[in-house]
Amino acid sequence: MLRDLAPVVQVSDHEARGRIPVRPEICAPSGRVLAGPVATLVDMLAGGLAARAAHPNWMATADLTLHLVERPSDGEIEAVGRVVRAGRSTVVMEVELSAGGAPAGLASMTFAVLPRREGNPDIVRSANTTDDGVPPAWLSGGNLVQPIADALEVRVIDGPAGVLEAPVIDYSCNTLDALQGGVVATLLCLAADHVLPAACGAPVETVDLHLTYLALNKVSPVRTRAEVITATPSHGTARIETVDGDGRVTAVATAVATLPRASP
Amino acid sequence: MTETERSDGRAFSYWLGLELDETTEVGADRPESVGRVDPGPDLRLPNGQVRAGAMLGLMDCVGGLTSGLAALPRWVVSTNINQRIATLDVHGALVLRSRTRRVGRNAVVTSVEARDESNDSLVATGVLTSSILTFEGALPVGTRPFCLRMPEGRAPDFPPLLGIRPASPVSVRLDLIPQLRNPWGILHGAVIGITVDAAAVHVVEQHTRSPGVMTDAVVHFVAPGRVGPIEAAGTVIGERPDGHVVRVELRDRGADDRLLTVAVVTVAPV
Repeated sequence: MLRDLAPVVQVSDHEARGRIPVRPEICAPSGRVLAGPVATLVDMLAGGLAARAAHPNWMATADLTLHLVERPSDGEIEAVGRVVRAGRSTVVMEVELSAGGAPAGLASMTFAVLPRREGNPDIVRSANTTDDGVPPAWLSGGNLVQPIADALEVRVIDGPAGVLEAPVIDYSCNTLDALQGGVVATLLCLAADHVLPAACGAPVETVDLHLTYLALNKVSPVRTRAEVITATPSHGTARIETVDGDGRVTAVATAVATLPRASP
Repeated sequence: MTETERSDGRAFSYWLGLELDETTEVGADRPESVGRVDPGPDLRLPNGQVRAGAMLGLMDCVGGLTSGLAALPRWVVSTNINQRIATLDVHGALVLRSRTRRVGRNAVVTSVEARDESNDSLVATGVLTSSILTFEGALPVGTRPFCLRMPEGRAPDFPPLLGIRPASPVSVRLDLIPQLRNPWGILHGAVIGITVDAAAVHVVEQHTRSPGVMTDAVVHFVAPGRVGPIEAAGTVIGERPDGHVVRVELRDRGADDRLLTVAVVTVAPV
């Protein structure tokens, strides 16, 4: 899935830069980029930087927040991440987002620092990101030919209730055989994109996500459930959780969806 | 309130008026707790709505107790908190219920839900993440189940809005007076929420020349505030139908401008 977003990511010890092209397969009905793929870019970028900041220890993703103020309909969405705090127990990242040179939003991620265990990949050495801005082999050649929701095999069980389901498949997984963090964010945003338009009675789209990861999603199917907090004709907020095939709550989130700006 | 109570680092809890109770059995794997507060004028805006920054502080207190109970015999320090506001129009007492969502080796996640006691409507929802640490000295919970009640007598003196005042068109400042310190002598986490609120609203009002009110927030606690004055500076990231998105940074001016907090909040038009 990461490869199909065709990302270019460049990581140094204190900063990470990345971008993905905005293509129709990752856009909402308004034609503007979906929040989920942007969250995936943030996760990819911050994860690479956090691995360096936590080195030689290992880290686990704790939470991700995303606040979009502009969602481009073409060109690229660019991200610059930096370490806000690298402590003994946590690493905090901040990621600035832009499109066409204008601010597009702000994101943050927190990682828990864990003692390195046998089997943890050495990202600094093996580098799933590169220092020269050239995508490594495993990230190159992205060719998304269908909407991202279809590529992730997301099924809409009850759209107005925000109930969606995704299988845990190789395409969506990380090295731990669990749903990749960006995929979880994408699934939650897609759920918000179903429940909030129904509640608001307007074609609102997700622009804001507060996501806390509780457990790995290893057991299919991963299902969302949602509760509307506020709904107005211009924006709404929902609380959304993911539940894995064993009935375990694996992530808790809230999302805001707003009416998209009219295209220029 | 006696001078002893005034100096024990709990003065700000008394200012909040928050009463706390551990509600699960002692030793429960997933502790829960409840807080109750009758929001007085200090916790409200001039228009009578509850301050979202105060709500953030209350959530931090209630979620923090639950996290600490889950981490015993160790204790916790807040790492970050996020909040979504359903309404700021609160007519009765606020009841905040917190439950443990995850207890890991190094971190605890708790969720907090605030409701208006007068009609049981949802006021706000939030999630607090805390780091577990080995605590030296007496733990902040003594007798179990834990219970915190307001003392009899006069409340400690506080300057209006905790002494937060504009410092520039994009920043506010406050002095780190003893009443704003927690039992460990550092800036109380709940003060941070109110300061973030004040800074974000100030910068948006300067930007738009019209009144605003903070709603949603994400706050990352980066380092403790020890010296003061504390300065909070805001930057408007952009505007959406739900309001302006603002990044706020708190720094300790008296400690080489040390970065204390990074927050992103939404400021809605009034």
